[in-house]
Amino acid sequence: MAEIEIRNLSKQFQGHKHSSPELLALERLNFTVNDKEFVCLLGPSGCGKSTTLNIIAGLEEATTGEVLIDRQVCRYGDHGKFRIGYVFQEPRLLPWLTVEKNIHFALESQGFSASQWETISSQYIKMVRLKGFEKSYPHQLSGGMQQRTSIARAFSIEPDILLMDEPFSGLDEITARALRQELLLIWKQNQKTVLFVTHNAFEATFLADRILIMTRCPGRIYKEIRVDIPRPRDYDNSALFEFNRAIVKDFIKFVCSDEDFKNL
Amino acid sequence: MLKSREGAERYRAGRTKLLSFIVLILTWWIVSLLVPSTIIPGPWATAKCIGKILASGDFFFHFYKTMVRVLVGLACSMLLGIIVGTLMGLYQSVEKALDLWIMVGLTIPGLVYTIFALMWFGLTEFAAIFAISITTFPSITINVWGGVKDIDTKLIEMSKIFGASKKKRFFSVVLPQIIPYLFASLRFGLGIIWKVTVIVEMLGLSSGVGYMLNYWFNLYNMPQVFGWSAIFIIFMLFFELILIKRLERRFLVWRPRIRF
Repeated sequence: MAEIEIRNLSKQFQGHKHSSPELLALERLNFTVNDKEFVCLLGPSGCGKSTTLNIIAGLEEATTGEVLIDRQVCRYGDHGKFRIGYVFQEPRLLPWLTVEKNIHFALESQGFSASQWETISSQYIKMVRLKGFEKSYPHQLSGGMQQRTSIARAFSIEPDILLMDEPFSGLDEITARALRQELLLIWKQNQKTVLFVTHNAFEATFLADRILIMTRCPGRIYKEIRVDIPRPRDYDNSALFEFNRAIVKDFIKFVCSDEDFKNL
Repeated sequence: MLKSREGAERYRAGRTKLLSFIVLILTWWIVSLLVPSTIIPGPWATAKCIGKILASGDFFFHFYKTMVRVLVGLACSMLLGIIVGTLMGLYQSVEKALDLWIMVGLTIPGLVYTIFALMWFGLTEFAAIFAISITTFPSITINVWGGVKDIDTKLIEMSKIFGASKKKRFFSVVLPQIIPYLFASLRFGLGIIWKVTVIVEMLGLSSGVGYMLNYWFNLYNMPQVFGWSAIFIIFMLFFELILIKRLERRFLVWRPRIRF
Protein backbone atom coordinates (compact mmCIF):
# COMPACT_ATOMS: atom_id res chain seq x y z
CA MET A 1 0.00 0.00 0.00
CA ALA A 2 1.78 3.12 -1.17
CA GLU A 3 -0.26 5.97 0.06
CA ILE A 4 0.98 9.45 0.79
CA GLU A 5 -0.23 11.22 3.88
CA ILE A 6 0.55 14.82 4.64
CA ARG A 7 -0.09 15.92 8.21
CA ASN A 8 0.00 19.52 9.36
CA LEU A 9 2.79 20.37 6.96
CA SER A 10 4.17 23.87 7.27
CA LYS A 11 7.14 25.46 5.59
CA GLN A 12 8.62 28.73 6.63
CA PHE A 13 11.43 30.12 4.52
CA GLN A 14 13.94 32.07 6.57
CA GLY A 15 14.74 35.45 5.15
CA HIS A 16 18.22 35.98 3.80
CA LYS A 17 19.71 39.41 4.25
CA HIS A 18 20.20 40.23 0.60
CA SER A 19 17.94 37.87 -1.25
CA SER A 20 14.71 36.13 -0.36
CA PRO A 21 12.27 37.60 2.15
CA GLU A 22 10.86 35.62 5.03
CA LEU A 23 7.98 33.63 3.69
CA LEU A 24 5.37 31.28 5.09
CA ALA A 25 5.09 29.08 2.02
CA LEU A 26 2.85 26.34 3.40
CA GLU A 27 0.52 26.42 6.36
CA ARG A 28 -0.87 23.32 8.01
CA LEU A 29 -1.32 21.28 4.87
CA ASN A 30 -3.36 18.13 5.37
CA PHE A 31 -4.24 15.67 2.69
CA THR A 32 -3.94 12.05 1.64
CA VAL A 33 -3.28 10.38 -1.66
CA ASN A 34 -4.68 6.88 -1.58
CA ASP A 35 -2.94 3.86 -3.00
CA LYS A 36 -2.95 3.85 -6.80
CA GLU A 37 -4.89 7.10 -6.89
CA PHE A 38 -4.12 9.92 -9.33
CA VAL A 39 -4.33 13.20 -7.47
CA CYS A 40 -3.65 16.64 -8.90
CA LEU A 41 -2.44 19.53 -6.86
CA LEU A 42 -3.88 22.52 -8.68
CA GLY A 43 -2.84 26.04 -7.90
CA PRO A 44 -1.41 29.26 -9.28
CA SER A 45 2.31 29.85 -9.58
CA GLY A 46 4.03 30.45 -6.30
CA CYS A 47 1.48 28.73 -4.10
CA GLY A 48 3.91 26.18 -2.79
CA LYS A 49 3.03 23.15 -4.94
CA SER A 50 6.63 22.46 -5.91
CA THR A 51 7.76 23.02 -2.33
CA THR A 52 5.27 20.37 -1.23
CA LEU A 53 6.68 17.89 -3.75
CA ASN A 54 10.24 18.69 -2.72
CA ILE A 55 9.40 18.02 0.90
CA ILE A 56 7.79 14.68 0.02
CA ALA A 57 10.85 13.76 -2.05
CA GLY A 58 13.11 14.56 0.88
CA LEU A 59 14.86 17.46 -0.86
CA GLU A 60 13.61 20.13 1.49
CA GLU A 61 12.89 20.14 5.18
CA ALA A 62 9.45 20.92 6.53
CA THR A 63 9.27 23.42 9.36
CA THR A 64 6.52 21.47 11.13
CA GLY A 65 4.34 18.49 10.35
CA GLU A 66 5.19 15.23 8.71
CA VAL A 67 5.03 13.23 5.53
CA LEU A 68 4.14 9.58 5.64
CA ILE A 69 4.67 7.29 2.70
CA ASP A 70 3.27 3.81 3.04
CA ARG A 71 2.52 4.62 6.68
CA GLN A 72 6.22 5.32 7.37
CA VAL A 73 7.54 8.73 8.24
CA CYS A 74 9.69 10.28 5.53
CA ARG A 75 12.26 12.78 6.75
CA TYR A 76 14.56 15.30 5.12
CA GLY A 77 17.50 13.52 3.54
CA ASP A 78 15.67 10.20 3.45
CA HIS A 79 15.71 10.04 -0.32
CA GLY A 80 17.03 6.54 -0.60
CA LYS A 81 14.43 5.04 1.67
CA PHE A 82 11.43 5.02 -0.63
CA ARG A 83 11.24 4.37 -4.33
CA ILE A 84 10.18 7.74 -5.64
CA GLY A 85 9.76 8.38 -9.33
CA TYR A 86 9.96 12.07 -10.11
CA VAL A 87 9.27 13.85 -13.36
CA PHE A 88 10.41 17.47 -13.40
CA GLN A 89 9.30 20.41 -15.44
CA GLU A 90 12.56 20.15 -17.41
CA PRO A 91 13.61 16.66 -18.52
CA ARG A 92 16.79 16.75 -16.35
CA LEU A 93 18.48 14.04 -18.36
CA LEU A 94 22.24 13.56 -18.08
CA PRO A 95 23.42 15.01 -21.40
CA TRP A 96 26.46 12.76 -21.71
CA LEU A 97 24.38 9.58 -21.52
CA THR A 98 22.15 8.07 -24.16
CA VAL A 99 18.43 7.55 -23.60
CA GLU A 100 18.85 3.97 -22.43
CA LYS A 101 21.85 4.79 -20.27
CA ASN A 102 19.90 7.57 -18.57
CA ILE A 103 17.37 4.95 -17.52
CA HIS A 104 20.16 2.59 -16.47
CA PHE A 105 21.50 5.38 -14.26
CA ALA A 106 18.21 5.49 -12.33
CA LEU A 107 18.05 1.70 -12.13
CA GLU A 108 21.60 1.49 -10.86
CA SER A 109 20.97 4.19 -8.25
CA GLN A 110 17.97 2.22 -7.02
CA GLY A 111 19.98 -0.96 -6.68
CA PHE A 112 18.69 -3.00 -9.61
CA SER A 113 21.22 -5.59 -10.73
CA ALA A 114 23.02 -4.88 -13.98
CA SER A 115 21.61 -7.92 -15.72
CA GLN A 116 18.12 -6.45 -15.55
CA TRP A 117 18.88 -2.98 -16.89
CA GLU A 118 18.69 -3.80 -20.58
CA THR A 119 15.35 -5.60 -20.37
CA ILE A 120 13.72 -3.01 -18.15
CA SER A 121 14.89 0.00 -20.12
CA SER A 122 13.84 -1.42 -23.49
CA GLN A 123 10.44 -2.25 -22.07
CA TYR A 124 9.79 1.27 -20.88
CA ILE A 125 11.38 2.93 -23.91
CA LYS A 126 8.91 0.96 -26.01
CA MET A 127 6.11 2.04 -23.69
CA VAL A 128 6.80 5.74 -24.21
CA ARG A 129 7.07 5.10 -27.94
CA LEU A 130 10.75 5.91 -28.24
CA LYS A 131 11.82 2.59 -29.71
CA GLY A 132 14.77 3.16 -32.02
CA PHE A 133 16.09 6.11 -30.00
CA GLU A 134 17.78 4.06 -27.30
CA LYS A 135 21.24 5.20 -28.35
CA SER A 136 20.40 8.84 -29.02
CA TYR A 137 21.75 11.63 -26.87
CA PRO A 138 19.33 14.10 -25.27
CA HIS A 139 20.41 17.00 -27.45
CA GLN A 140 19.33 15.02 -30.49
CA LEU A 141 15.78 14.69 -29.21
CA SER A 142 12.89 17.15 -29.21
CA GLY A 143 11.49 18.53 -25.94
CA GLY A 144 8.57 16.12 -26.03
CA MET A 145 10.86 13.14 -26.62
CA GLN A 146 13.16 14.20 -23.80
CA GLN A 147 10.19 14.46 -21.48
CA ARG A 148 9.02 11.00 -22.58
CA THR A 149 12.46 9.67 -21.65
CA SER A 150 12.09 11.32 -18.27
CA ILE A 151 8.70 9.64 -17.81
CA ALA A 152 10.14 6.27 -18.82
CA ARG A 153 12.92 6.78 -16.30
CA ALA A 154 10.47 7.56 -13.51
CA PHE A 155 8.30 4.52 -14.23
CA SER A 156 11.18 2.12 -14.84
CA ILE A 157 12.29 1.99 -11.22
CA GLU A 158 8.92 0.51 -10.18
CA PRO A 159 8.38 3.39 -7.76
CA ASP A 160 6.18 3.31 -4.68
CA ILE A 161 4.93 6.77 -5.59
CA LEU A 162 5.19 9.02 -8.62
CA LEU A 163 5.66 12.76 -8.20
CA MET A 164 5.23 15.00 -11.22
CA ASP A 165 5.94 18.71 -11.13
CA GLU A 166 4.21 20.42 -14.06
CA PRO A 167 5.90 18.02 -16.49
CA PHE A 168 4.07 19.27 -19.56
CA SER A 169 4.00 23.01 -18.92
CA GLY A 170 7.21 23.55 -20.87
CA LEU A 171 5.87 21.94 -24.03
CA ASP A 172 3.61 23.16 -26.79
CA GLU A 173 -0.07 22.37 -26.34
CA ILE A 174 -0.20 19.71 -29.07
CA THR A 175 2.72 17.73 -27.68
CA ALA A 176 1.41 18.24 -24.15
CA ARG A 177 -2.00 16.91 -25.13
CA ALA A 178 -0.49 13.81 -26.70
CA LEU A 179 1.70 13.20 -23.68
CA ARG A 180 -1.21 13.56 -21.26
CA GLN A 181 -3.07 10.82 -23.06
CA GLU A 182 0.04 8.66 -23.23
CA LEU A 183 0.63 9.18 -19.54
CA LEU A 184 -2.84 7.89 -18.72
CA LEU A 185 -2.32 4.85 -20.97
CA ILE A 186 0.96 4.04 -19.24
CA TRP A 187 -0.56 4.66 -15.85
CA LYS A 188 -3.41 2.31 -16.67
CA GLN A 189 -0.89 -0.50 -17.26
CA ASN A 190 1.31 0.40 -14.30
CA GLN A 191 -1.05 1.72 -11.71
CA LYS A 192 0.92 3.78 -9.21
CA THR A 193 0.09 6.37 -6.61
CA VAL A 194 0.53 9.70 -8.42
CA LEU A 195 0.73 13.24 -7.13
CA PHE A 196 0.69 15.57 -10.12
CA VAL A 197 1.25 19.28 -9.71
CA THR A 198 -0.13 21.74 -12.25
CA HIS A 199 -1.50 25.22 -12.75
CA ASN A 200 -3.62 24.08 -15.67
CA ALA A 201 -7.16 23.36 -14.56
CA PHE A 202 -8.14 21.45 -17.69
CA GLU A 203 -5.10 19.23 -17.39
CA ALA A 204 -6.07 18.47 -13.80
CA THR A 205 -9.65 17.68 -14.78
CA PHE A 206 -8.52 15.38 -17.58
CA LEU A 207 -5.95 13.47 -15.58
CA ALA A 208 -7.07 13.25 -11.96
CA ASP A 209 -9.29 11.09 -9.80
CA ARG A 210 -9.25 13.91 -7.30
CA ILE A 211 -8.15 17.53 -7.48
CA LEU A 212 -6.81 19.47 -4.52
CA ILE A 213 -6.99 23.19 -5.14
CA MET A 214 -4.27 25.19 -3.40
CA THR A 215 -4.24 28.85 -2.57
CA ARG A 216 -1.05 30.74 -2.07
CA CYS A 217 0.69 32.86 0.50
CA PRO A 218 0.42 30.88 2.56
CA GLY A 219 -0.23 27.65 0.65
CA ARG A 220 -3.31 25.85 1.91
CA ILE A 221 -5.74 23.35 0.49
CA TYR A 222 -8.78 25.41 -0.36
CA LYS A 223 -10.99 22.74 -1.81
CA GLU A 224 -11.05 19.07 -2.70
CA ILE A 225 -12.94 17.96 -5.78
CA ARG A 226 -13.62 14.42 -6.88
CA VAL A 227 -13.63 14.02 -10.66
CA ASP A 228 -16.40 11.52 -11.22
CA ILE A 229 -16.07 11.27 -14.98
CA PRO A 230 -15.35 7.64 -15.92
CA ARG A 231 -12.18 6.54 -17.65
CA PRO A 232 -11.02 6.37 -20.39
CA ARG A 233 -11.68 10.08 -20.73
CA ASP A 234 -12.09 11.71 -24.08
CA TYR A 235 -10.30 15.02 -24.46
CA ASP A 236 -13.25 16.53 -26.29
CA ASN A 237 -15.88 15.16 -23.93
CA SER A 238 -18.40 17.91 -23.12
CA ALA A 239 -18.96 16.58 -19.62
CA LEU A 240 -15.28 17.10 -18.99
CA PHE A 241 -15.51 20.59 -20.35
CA GLU A 242 -18.48 21.51 -18.16
CA PHE A 243 -16.81 20.07 -15.10
CA ASN A 244 -13.74 22.09 -15.83
CA ARG A 245 -15.71 25.28 -16.29
CA ALA A 246 -17.18 24.95 -12.84
CA ILE A 247 -13.77 24.40 -11.33
CA VAL A 248 -12.13 27.29 -13.10
CA LYS A 249 -14.82 29.73 -12.05
CA ASP A 250 -14.34 28.77 -8.45
CA PHE A 251 -10.57 28.65 -8.83
CA ILE A 252 -10.28 32.17 -10.12
CA LYS A 253 -12.72 33.60 -7.63
CA PHE A 254 -11.10 32.33 -4.47
CA VAL A 255 -7.52 31.85 -5.46
CA CYS A 256 -6.93 35.11 -7.25
CA SER A 257 -8.87 37.25 -4.84
CA ASP A 258 -9.77 40.90 -5.14
CA GLU A 259 -6.84 41.54 -2.82
CA ASP A 260 -4.43 40.61 -5.58
CA PHE A 261 -5.98 43.12 -7.93
CA LYS A 262 -6.24 45.89 -5.35
CA ASN A 263 -2.52 45.76 -4.78
CA LEU A 264 -1.64 46.22 -8.43
CA MET B 1 25.49 10.26 -38.90
CA LEU B 2 27.68 11.94 -36.33
CA LYS B 3 30.72 10.00 -37.52
CA SER B 4 30.87 10.79 -41.23
CA ARG B 5 30.35 14.51 -40.76
CA GLU B 6 33.06 14.41 -38.14
CA GLY B 7 35.42 12.61 -40.52
CA ALA B 8 35.02 15.31 -43.17
CA GLU B 9 35.61 18.02 -40.59
CA ARG B 10 38.75 16.37 -39.31
CA TYR B 11 40.10 16.15 -42.85
CA ARG B 12 39.49 19.85 -43.37
CA ALA B 13 41.02 20.70 -39.99
CA GLY B 14 44.08 18.62 -40.84
CA ARG B 15 44.46 20.36 -44.18
CA THR B 16 44.23 23.79 -42.53
CA LYS B 17 46.84 22.85 -39.98
CA LEU B 18 49.19 21.58 -42.67
CA LEU B 19 48.75 24.79 -44.63
CA SER B 20 49.50 26.96 -41.60
CA PHE B 21 52.56 24.85 -40.87
CA ILE B 22 53.89 25.38 -44.38
CA VAL B 23 53.29 29.12 -44.13
CA LEU B 24 55.18 29.14 -40.84
CA ILE B 25 58.22 27.39 -42.33
CA LEU B 26 58.23 29.72 -45.32
CA THR B 27 58.09 32.79 -43.09
CA TRP B 28 60.93 31.43 -40.98
CA TRP B 29 63.01 30.78 -44.07
CA ILE B 30 62.45 34.29 -45.40
CA VAL B 31 63.35 35.88 -42.07
CA SER B 32 66.47 33.74 -41.80
CA LEU B 33 67.64 35.03 -45.17
CA LEU B 34 67.39 38.61 -43.94
CA VAL B 35 69.02 38.07 -40.56
CA PRO B 36 72.56 36.73 -39.90
CA SER B 37 72.55 32.97 -39.43
CA THR B 38 74.28 33.25 -36.09
CA ILE B 39 71.11 34.84 -34.70
CA ILE B 40 68.42 33.00 -36.61
CA PRO B 41 69.50 29.88 -38.43
CA GLY B 42 67.30 28.84 -41.35
CA PRO B 43 65.06 25.78 -41.51
CA TRP B 44 67.58 23.75 -43.47
CA ALA B 45 70.47 24.43 -41.07
CA THR B 46 68.19 23.56 -38.18
CA ALA B 47 67.05 20.36 -39.87
CA LYS B 48 70.68 19.30 -40.36
CA CYS B 49 71.28 19.97 -36.67
CA ILE B 50 68.25 17.96 -35.69
CA GLY B 51 69.71 15.07 -37.64
CA LYS B 52 72.99 15.44 -35.75
CA ILE B 53 71.22 15.60 -32.40
CA LEU B 54 69.13 12.51 -33.05
CA ALA B 55 72.13 10.58 -34.31
CA SER B 56 74.06 11.23 -31.12
CA GLY B 57 73.27 8.92 -28.25
CA ASP B 58 72.83 11.89 -25.91
CA PHE B 59 69.47 12.92 -27.21
CA PHE B 60 67.36 10.07 -25.92
CA PHE B 61 68.94 10.25 -22.52
CA HIS B 62 68.18 13.94 -22.01
CA PHE B 63 64.76 13.68 -23.59
CA TYR B 64 63.84 10.76 -21.39
CA LYS B 65 64.92 12.66 -18.27
CA THR B 66 62.81 15.66 -19.18
CA MET B 67 59.80 13.53 -20.07
CA VAL B 68 59.85 11.73 -16.75
CA ARG B 69 59.93 15.04 -14.87
CA VAL B 70 57.14 16.47 -16.99
CA LEU B 71 54.84 13.46 -16.70
CA VAL B 72 55.36 12.89 -13.00
CA GLY B 73 54.97 16.61 -12.31
CA LEU B 74 51.83 16.69 -14.42
CA ALA B 75 50.33 13.69 -12.67
CA CYS B 76 51.02 15.13 -9.22
CA SER B 77 49.72 18.59 -9.95
CA MET B 78 46.61 17.30 -11.77
CA LEU B 79 45.72 14.89 -8.98
CA LEU B 80 46.24 17.49 -6.27
CA GLY B 81 44.53 20.18 -8.32
CA ILE B 82 41.46 18.03 -8.99
CA ILE B 83 41.09 17.04 -5.34
CA VAL B 84 41.51 20.54 -3.93
CA GLY B 85 39.55 22.23 -6.73
CA THR B 86 36.63 19.84 -6.28
CA LEU B 87 36.56 20.28 -2.51
CA MET B 88 36.61 24.03 -2.95
CA GLY B 89 33.78 23.86 -5.45
CA LEU B 90 31.56 21.56 -3.41
CA TYR B 91 32.10 22.90 0.09
CA GLN B 92 31.94 26.58 0.94
CA SER B 93 34.01 26.11 4.09
CA VAL B 94 36.94 24.75 2.11
CA GLU B 95 36.57 27.50 -0.45
CA LYS B 96 36.68 30.24 2.16
CA ALA B 97 39.70 28.69 3.83
CA LEU B 98 41.78 28.23 0.71
CA ASP B 99 40.85 30.77 -1.93
CA LEU B 100 43.32 33.42 -0.80
CA TRP B 101 46.20 30.96 -0.52
CA ILE B 102 45.60 29.52 -3.96
CA MET B 103 45.73 33.02 -5.43
CA VAL B 104 48.97 33.70 -3.60
CA GLY B 105 50.36 30.40 -4.84
CA LEU B 106 49.43 31.35 -8.36
CA THR B 107 51.28 34.65 -8.33
CA ILE B 108 54.57 33.33 -6.99
CA PRO B 109 56.86 32.87 -9.99
CA GLY B 110 58.01 29.36 -10.90
CA LEU B 111 61.56 30.61 -10.48
CA VAL B 112 60.98 31.30 -6.80
CA TYR B 113 59.57 27.80 -6.19
CA THR B 114 62.53 26.37 -8.07
CA ILE B 115 65.08 28.23 -5.99
CA PHE B 116 63.42 27.24 -2.74
CA ALA B 117 63.08 23.62 -3.82
CA LEU B 118 66.73 23.41 -4.82
CA MET B 119 67.76 25.01 -1.55
CA TRP B 120 65.63 22.74 0.61
CA PHE B 121 66.03 19.45 -1.26
CA GLY B 122 69.32 19.92 -3.01
CA LEU B 123 70.02 19.44 -6.70
CA THR B 124 67.81 16.35 -6.84
CA GLU B 125 65.07 14.93 -9.02
CA PHE B 126 62.70 15.31 -6.11
CA ALA B 127 63.39 19.02 -5.92
CA ALA B 128 62.74 19.35 -9.63
CA ILE B 129 59.42 17.49 -9.53
CA PHE B 130 58.39 19.33 -6.39
CA ALA B 131 59.02 22.71 -7.99
CA ILE B 132 57.24 21.70 -11.19
CA SER B 133 54.19 20.39 -9.36
CA ILE B 134 53.84 23.33 -6.97
CA THR B 135 54.10 25.85 -9.79
CA THR B 136 51.38 24.23 -11.86
CA PHE B 137 49.00 23.12 -9.11
CA PRO B 138 47.29 26.51 -8.42
CA SER B 139 46.22 27.00 -12.06
CA ILE B 140 44.71 23.55 -12.24
CA THR B 141 42.95 24.05 -8.91
CA ILE B 142 41.38 27.33 -10.02
CA ASN B 143 40.22 25.77 -13.29
CA VAL B 144 38.63 22.76 -11.59
CA TRP B 145 37.16 24.95 -8.85
CA GLY B 146 35.42 27.11 -11.43
CA GLY B 147 34.21 24.03 -13.25
CA VAL B 148 32.69 22.42 -10.18
CA LYS B 149 30.87 25.61 -9.23
CA ASP B 150 29.43 25.71 -12.72
CA ILE B 151 27.72 22.35 -12.55
CA ASP B 152 23.99 22.00 -13.00
CA THR B 153 22.49 21.66 -9.52
CA LYS B 154 19.24 20.44 -11.07
CA LEU B 155 20.99 17.30 -12.19
CA ILE B 156 22.36 16.79 -8.69
CA GLU B 157 18.83 17.14 -7.29
CA MET B 158 17.54 14.63 -9.79
CA SER B 159 20.21 12.12 -8.87
CA LYS B 160 19.51 12.60 -5.16
CA ILE B 161 15.80 11.90 -5.64
CA PHE B 162 16.54 8.78 -7.65
CA GLY B 163 18.62 7.55 -4.73
CA ALA B 164 22.16 7.82 -6.05
CA SER B 165 24.81 7.53 -3.33
CA LYS B 166 27.26 10.38 -2.71
CA LYS B 167 29.97 8.41 -4.49
CA LYS B 168 27.76 7.80 -7.49
CA ARG B 169 26.71 11.45 -7.55
CA PHE B 170 30.35 12.49 -7.69
CA PHE B 171 31.54 10.05 -10.35
CA SER B 172 28.42 9.97 -12.52
CA VAL B 173 27.06 13.50 -12.24
CA VAL B 174 29.80 15.90 -11.09
CA LEU B 175 32.84 14.44 -12.85
CA PRO B 176 31.36 14.25 -16.36
CA GLN B 177 30.45 17.93 -16.10
CA ILE B 178 33.96 18.99 -15.20
CA ILE B 179 35.69 16.99 -17.93
CA PRO B 180 35.88 19.97 -20.28
CA TYR B 181 37.56 21.90 -17.47
CA LEU B 182 39.93 19.00 -16.88
CA PHE B 183 41.03 19.08 -20.50
CA ALA B 184 41.54 22.82 -20.29
CA SER B 185 43.60 22.38 -17.12
CA LEU B 186 45.56 19.57 -18.76
CA ARG B 187 46.56 21.73 -21.70
CA PHE B 188 47.21 24.78 -19.58
CA GLY B 189 49.12 22.74 -17.01
CA LEU B 190 51.22 21.09 -19.69
CA GLY B 191 52.14 24.49 -21.09
CA ILE B 192 53.29 25.71 -17.70
CA ILE B 193 55.11 22.49 -16.93
CA TRP B 194 57.22 22.50 -20.08
CA LYS B 195 58.31 26.05 -19.25
CA VAL B 196 59.07 25.38 -15.61
CA THR B 197 60.88 22.11 -16.31
CA VAL B 198 63.25 23.84 -18.67
CA ILE B 199 63.93 26.54 -16.07
CA VAL B 200 64.53 24.00 -13.32
CA GLU B 201 66.90 22.05 -15.54
CA MET B 202 68.77 25.20 -16.49
CA LEU B 203 69.16 26.25 -12.89
CA GLY B 204 70.08 23.20 -10.97
CA LEU B 205 70.27 19.94 -12.84
CA SER B 206 72.73 18.28 -15.13
CA SER B 207 70.44 16.53 -17.57
CA GLY B 208 67.39 17.17 -19.65
CA VAL B 209 66.38 19.28 -22.60
CA GLY B 210 66.51 22.51 -20.60
CA TYR B 211 70.04 21.72 -19.50
CA MET B 212 71.09 21.13 -23.11
CA LEU B 213 69.44 24.33 -24.27
CA ASN B 214 71.38 26.26 -21.63
CA TYR B 215 74.61 24.44 -22.51
CA TRP B 216 74.41 25.27 -26.21
CA PHE B 217 73.24 28.80 -25.53
CA ASN B 218 76.34 29.41 -23.41
CA LEU B 219 78.43 28.27 -26.37
CA TYR B 220 76.37 30.57 -28.56
CA ASN B 221 75.54 27.72 -30.91
CA MET B 222 72.16 28.88 -32.17
CA PRO B 223 71.57 26.00 -34.63
CA GLN B 224 71.80 23.58 -31.72
CA VAL B 225 69.47 25.73 -29.61
CA PHE B 226 66.99 25.88 -32.47
CA GLY B 227 67.42 22.19 -33.10
CA TRP B 228 66.67 21.16 -29.53
CA SER B 229 63.74 23.60 -29.33
CA ALA B 230 62.31 22.29 -32.58
CA ILE B 231 62.38 18.68 -31.39
CA PHE B 232 60.77 19.77 -28.17
CA ILE B 233 57.98 21.58 -30.02
CA ILE B 234 57.40 18.71 -32.41
CA PHE B 235 57.03 16.32 -29.54
CA MET B 236 54.58 18.61 -27.79
CA LEU B 237 52.46 18.86 -30.95
CA PHE B 238 52.57 15.09 -31.25
CA PHE B 239 51.36 14.76 -27.68
CA GLU B 240 48.51 17.17 -28.25
CA LEU B 241 47.30 15.78 -31.56
CA ILE B 242 47.66 12.08 -30.97
CA LEU B 243 46.88 11.82 -27.30
CA ILE B 244 44.90 14.73 -25.96
CA LYS B 245 42.70 15.43 -28.95
CA ARG B 246 41.79 11.76 -29.25
CA LEU B 247 40.86 11.48 -25.57
CA GLU B 248 38.86 14.68 -25.76
CA ARG B 249 36.87 13.49 -28.75
CA ARG B 250 36.01 10.26 -27.01
CA PHE B 251 34.90 11.95 -23.80
CA LEU B 252 32.95 14.80 -25.33
CA VAL B 253 31.14 13.05 -28.18
CA TRP B 254 27.81 13.90 -26.55
CA ARG B 255 28.25 17.65 -26.73
CA PRO B 256 26.06 19.57 -29.18
CA ARG B 257 27.92 21.95 -31.47
CA ILE B 258 27.60 25.66 -30.90
CA ARG B 259 26.20 27.52 -33.88
CA PHE B 260 26.83 31.06 -32.87
